[in-house]
Amino acid sequence: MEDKGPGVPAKGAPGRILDRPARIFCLALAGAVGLLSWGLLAGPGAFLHAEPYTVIIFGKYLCYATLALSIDLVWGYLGILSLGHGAFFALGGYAFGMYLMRQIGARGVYGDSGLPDFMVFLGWDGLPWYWLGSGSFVFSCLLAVLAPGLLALVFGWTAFRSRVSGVYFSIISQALAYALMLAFFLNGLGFGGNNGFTDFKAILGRDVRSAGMSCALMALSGLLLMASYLVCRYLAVSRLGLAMVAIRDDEARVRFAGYRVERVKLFVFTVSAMMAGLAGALYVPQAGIINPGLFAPVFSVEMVVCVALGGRGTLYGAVAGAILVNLAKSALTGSFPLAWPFVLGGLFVAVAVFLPRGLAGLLARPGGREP
Amino acid sequence: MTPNPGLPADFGDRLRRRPGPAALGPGLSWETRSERRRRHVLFLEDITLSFDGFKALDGLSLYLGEGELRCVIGPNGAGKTTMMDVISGHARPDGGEAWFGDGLNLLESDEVEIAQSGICRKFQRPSVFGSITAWENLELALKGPKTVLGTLGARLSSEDGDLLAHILDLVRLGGRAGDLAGILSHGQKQWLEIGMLLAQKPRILLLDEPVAGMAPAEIDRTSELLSGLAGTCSIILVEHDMEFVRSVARTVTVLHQGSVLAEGDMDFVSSRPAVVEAYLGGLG
Repeated sequence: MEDKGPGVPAKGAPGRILDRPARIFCLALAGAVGLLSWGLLAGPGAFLHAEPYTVIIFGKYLCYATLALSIDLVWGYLGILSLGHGAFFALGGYAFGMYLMRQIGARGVYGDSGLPDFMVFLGWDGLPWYWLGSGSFVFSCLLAVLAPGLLALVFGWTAFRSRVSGVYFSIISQALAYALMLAFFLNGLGFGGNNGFTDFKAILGRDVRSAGMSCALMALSGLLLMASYLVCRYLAVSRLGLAMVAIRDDEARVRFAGYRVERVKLFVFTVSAMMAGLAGALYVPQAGIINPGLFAPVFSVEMVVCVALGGRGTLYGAVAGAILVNLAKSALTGSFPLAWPFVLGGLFVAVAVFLPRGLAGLLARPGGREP
Repeated sequence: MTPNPGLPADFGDRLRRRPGPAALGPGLSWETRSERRRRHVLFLEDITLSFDGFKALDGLSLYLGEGELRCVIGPNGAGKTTMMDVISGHARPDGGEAWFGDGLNLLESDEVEIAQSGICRKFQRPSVFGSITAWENLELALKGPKTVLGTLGARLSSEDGDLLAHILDLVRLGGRAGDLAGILSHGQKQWLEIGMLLAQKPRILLLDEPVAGMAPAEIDRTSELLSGLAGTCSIILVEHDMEFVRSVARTVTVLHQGSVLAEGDMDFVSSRPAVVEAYLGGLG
């Protein structure tokens, strides 16, 4: 296209989605996933050998990173601070966890091929109706996207329609996560109570603990992260992305430009929740357990800190923040378990005071786009 | 329905044979309400709006013709901004009628419908979106699909691109397309916002103090810009700067305590004793 003058963006969607940071991000992600896979599959003694443990941990980080990305999409671009986004992650995790429980089959402690252990323990005769379809892999994957999506749709519709925003939205989103946590603690709900789901054996009949499976799950997490990142980039560079940033700046003014602010918010919030749900679904087989603790607001807040640390409104910042914070967490909870909450709190204060634009702000050119 | 006993039998015929407006003299007409509605692009009648007992608008009537530039002046608290709020769907009046164009009932439409139908508003403080570029501000405002899916797939056509580039030149921001709107000067923000309204392809522009805080040269430029728009759309301009009003307006409406005090050209309204009284507020 012809040049219309300085600053007028040359159109061409692929080039705008994959700008320089995006290309670096995708290459780095593919490189890390590739290296680790090679290190694991090449076996001990090989150059850059990776332990299965390392691969599984990294796969979990990638899931956290996807969750952080979904938070950044609504917080960094729309200005909606959700302090309960972990709930969508956990819901996706539970949806896929049901499938994992069904895959155990007769290998459970009680040897019942039809019922998960905890249901046998509770003396139930059969599966509750909402476990129907949980035996199907495809259905469970769909459920892991649709259940968080539906929750976000209903929750978002009520909240945005009543023009709940700012700190009030943050509080009720936290209350939502907390209420779900309490509900999932109940044995009668049929999700294993406070023990949740664990002792997974197989996915699609293949051993969940094998090196190949660990590698596949990690690679899938990487793929999901990259796909989510590209979806976020697509949204961000579209005209909808402009509307999102404008809503963050001055919501009332956007209405006078002819946009239905509530619908934009609802759409993006739902997309974000679906992303988080898928990340949760991939997280559970790698973590080997899911319990209601994942609904705890403190987990969601921790993810928000990751985004703030990385720099909101940049997408790659959220990913970097999630990986760095969780690396630090793994290292510190190993050696000084009691110090972690203080380190996390200290990090948050330090970022708020010294790096309001996060680590990504260090990279950005002065005078560049505000996050 | 039974005929009204108080009316003569040939009332309908008389109504049809009524003399034209010229026969009644200036300022008077036999026009019916529906005819008046059809003749004006904006029709406000008997609008009343009170906040906690305070009547911000009190029987306000205002008729705006196609392509007309109307200045609305009045002392603080006269109801100028509230009138803009009613027209743009930001405030709901307690009573009255408000119609736009061929039949959009403004009292039953929300801000978004009204904005999409072509009534575009500029706020008192410059409200551009600071964290996107000047160009992106215009693109956002551009008339076109504003639904979620529509904006998701929206691509700037080359005609639209040319239009935006033209608007940027018009508001003298040609070289600033790639700059964040937040770093523009106050006057440039005001112009950018006017540019955003133009990108919406407006039928009525509502401008609330567009030259507030502008330097004299910028004011002259704005006056030129608005005069250049004459005929392409109708404009309602609320302004305190009387020199500016005198330079652009043909018809001036003076509001006072929520209703119209006087209407006519600048010399006419400024010579009315009631207007002088309202402005001096009991000092005289």
